[in-house]
Amino acid sequence: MIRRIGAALVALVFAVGFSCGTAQMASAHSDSFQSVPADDSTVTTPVTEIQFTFVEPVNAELSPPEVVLVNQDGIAAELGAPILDETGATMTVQILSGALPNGDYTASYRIVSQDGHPASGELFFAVEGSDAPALVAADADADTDAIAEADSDVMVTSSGSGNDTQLQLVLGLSAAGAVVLAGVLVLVSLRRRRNSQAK
Amino acid sequence: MTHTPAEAQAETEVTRRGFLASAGVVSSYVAAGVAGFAGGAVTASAVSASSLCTQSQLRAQEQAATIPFFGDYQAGIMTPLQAYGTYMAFNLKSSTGIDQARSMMQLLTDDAARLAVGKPTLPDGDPYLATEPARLTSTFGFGPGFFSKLGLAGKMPVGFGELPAFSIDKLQPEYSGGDLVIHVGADNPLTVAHAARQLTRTANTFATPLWSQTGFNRPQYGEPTDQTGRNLFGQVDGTVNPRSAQEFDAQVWASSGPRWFHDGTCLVIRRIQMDFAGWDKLDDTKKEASMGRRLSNGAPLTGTSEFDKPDLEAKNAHGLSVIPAFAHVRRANTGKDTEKFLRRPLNYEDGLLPSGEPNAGLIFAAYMADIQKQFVPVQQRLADLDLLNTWITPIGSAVFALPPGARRGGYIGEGLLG
Amino acid sequence: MKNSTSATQRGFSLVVVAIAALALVGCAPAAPEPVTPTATDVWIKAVPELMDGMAMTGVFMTLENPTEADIELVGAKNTTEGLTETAMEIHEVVKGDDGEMKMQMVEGGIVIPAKESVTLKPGGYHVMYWDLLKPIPVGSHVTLTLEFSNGTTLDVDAVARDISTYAG
Repeated sequence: MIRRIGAALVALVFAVGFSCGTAQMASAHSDSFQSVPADDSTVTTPVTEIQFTFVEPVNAELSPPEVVLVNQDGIAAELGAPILDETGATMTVQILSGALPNGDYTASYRIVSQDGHPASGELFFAVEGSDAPALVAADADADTDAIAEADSDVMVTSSGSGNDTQLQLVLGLSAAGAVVLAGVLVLVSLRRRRNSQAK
Repeated sequence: MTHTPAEAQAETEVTRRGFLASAGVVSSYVAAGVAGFAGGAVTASAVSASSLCTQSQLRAQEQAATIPFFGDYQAGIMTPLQAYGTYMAFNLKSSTGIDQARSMMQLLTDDAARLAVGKPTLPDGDPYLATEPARLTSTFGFGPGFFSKLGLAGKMPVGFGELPAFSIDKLQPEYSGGDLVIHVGADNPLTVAHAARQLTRTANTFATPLWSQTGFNRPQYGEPTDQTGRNLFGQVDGTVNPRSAQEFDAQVWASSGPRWFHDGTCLVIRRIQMDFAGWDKLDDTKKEASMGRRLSNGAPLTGTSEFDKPDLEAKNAHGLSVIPAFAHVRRANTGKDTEKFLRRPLNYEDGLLPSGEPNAGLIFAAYMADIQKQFVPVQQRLADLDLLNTWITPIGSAVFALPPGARRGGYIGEGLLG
Repeated sequence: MKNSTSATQRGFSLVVVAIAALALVGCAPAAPEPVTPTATDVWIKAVPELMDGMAMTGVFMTLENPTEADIELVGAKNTTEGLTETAMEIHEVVKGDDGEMKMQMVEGGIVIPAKESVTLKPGGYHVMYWDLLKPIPVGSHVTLTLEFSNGTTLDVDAVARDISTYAG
């Protein structure tokens, strides 16, 4: 339920921020895929790997796939190299530290499909009932990075429409009100947006 | 004997006609005039400039603008991109020894010096086509065969030689190799065609034509307001080029190796065929991801304006790199100063393919002091991984060593052949 | 190139000598030193190989007369060793009565009007070499001496260039 409210708030902030319609920003087009764990799911069994299945085979030769898994605090789990099955469409990534501890997770991927088209997106899930120890940040700057990353995500998202005016509006917005910016950042990290396209 | 240098005379003549001989002066008038004409933010200086010159006068000055031929460096390298250009490659005839090669370069130098100031060449049968230089430059270079055929292999510049084979290459002999290259550029296509014909006639006595590639561009005038040009994929192309004299010294002009080559440079020409049908299937976001830059203004995905430095470390909220691993910008850019060079590309368009798509692409022309050190590592990385490779294919490749400029009375290549 | 003037060749040489003599006579010892016209862009049509009956070529240039009086180019002498034994001639290409372009000697020499210049070029005025004894490759140089109506002479160096058009 919190997710729904979060998404609605994101939409509201954007709608207030830009009087002109920027619908595609809030509802980014998604490349359909299936995953284990499933998107938007809560998992009570140990999660030791993540699996994506895409509609088209992945072209790993053209560009090695990228996968990143972070928890609600922006701490990244250490992952093995993505492995493709014989169809090329299913990609599995091992979590090197073992089963995930309790928390909210975002798994992001960026792949290139067989025809060379880049695609990227995110998968959201929660882990409950795990007794694994908490994730430890790999480097000390993880926290400060998280803010910069969130900021850059806002920029990139806004540029999806290819409109500099909107980009400047976003920047202007962040400069104008720290409260609003903080709200956006929180919402960005809360929102349970499904896959977005390549940045 | 009273053999007055043609160029001295011609300059007098140009002045006598009341033309502004300096390209810089002309271009600033042109830029100001255009700004005034566009009716945007008209500044006081733009108003005064446009009231001084009518549009037709501005056009005449543009056509009369000249780029000095003689100097420390050959013209047509540091020269801001002209609107039209052609590269022509030749192989030396077996009858051409070092004496003939010297004659050839003396005659080509004489032709080029005259054409640069709007004068016909001595044997010019169509002298009136020479009267609008329009920033004409003629630039000359020697391929590896030039050195080996003339017994000059020991004088090859450091780091100069054929490129290694790259996995992405589908090279066609009709666009590859050559002992001699002549590059002609100008803002007027008639001027380019005429100059190319004059220089070709001179070269034909000593060499046989191998290939020629003609292209076009959005012209630049060396003004601060100049925009970086775009290629036919719509990408802003040439953002990281050297611009200051210091950058040219560091990246372009040779300062080590054989003495004759100091202030010379190496040229790599790659003919890059573009797959427009494939490219058109990408939406803007995917195009920008492939490039790592925005289509609107060429800014890196981590920045807002063209000249912002790409932040290759930047991550989005979910920890993915903002500039993807496969992005052209990431693959081309190591941040190493030793792997930078000048790109001076031309776009080409040779009609339609049977599919109905344009037979078009980029004549990628890069200039650097040392091919091995500066160019090969970058090209190797791009061959290994660059998503743009999905839609572009190198179909021609050639390398040349471009001697330094000539002084009046001397000739291009004198240090090597003299 | 049509060799239509060979019949009048020798007669012309006599005329040249006569004009030169007149010019010399006209110069009183007390008169001011005569001024030599200048020559620029001097070139010669290359002859890469000698062919039967075609061992000839033309020299082209721009002549400028800085003086207040007309001066004529009345003759030329080869100074390149071993190039020819035959006297040079001043020629022009004109349209004949039959409409054909033909080459003929210039009566009285080529006039360089006072304070003006005249250009010798393919299809027009030229200085003619006959009976070449060796080729003139592209890029090589030929030297000759120009003779003017005011008694002055000028040594010039002509660079050999290839032209695909004009017999010259």
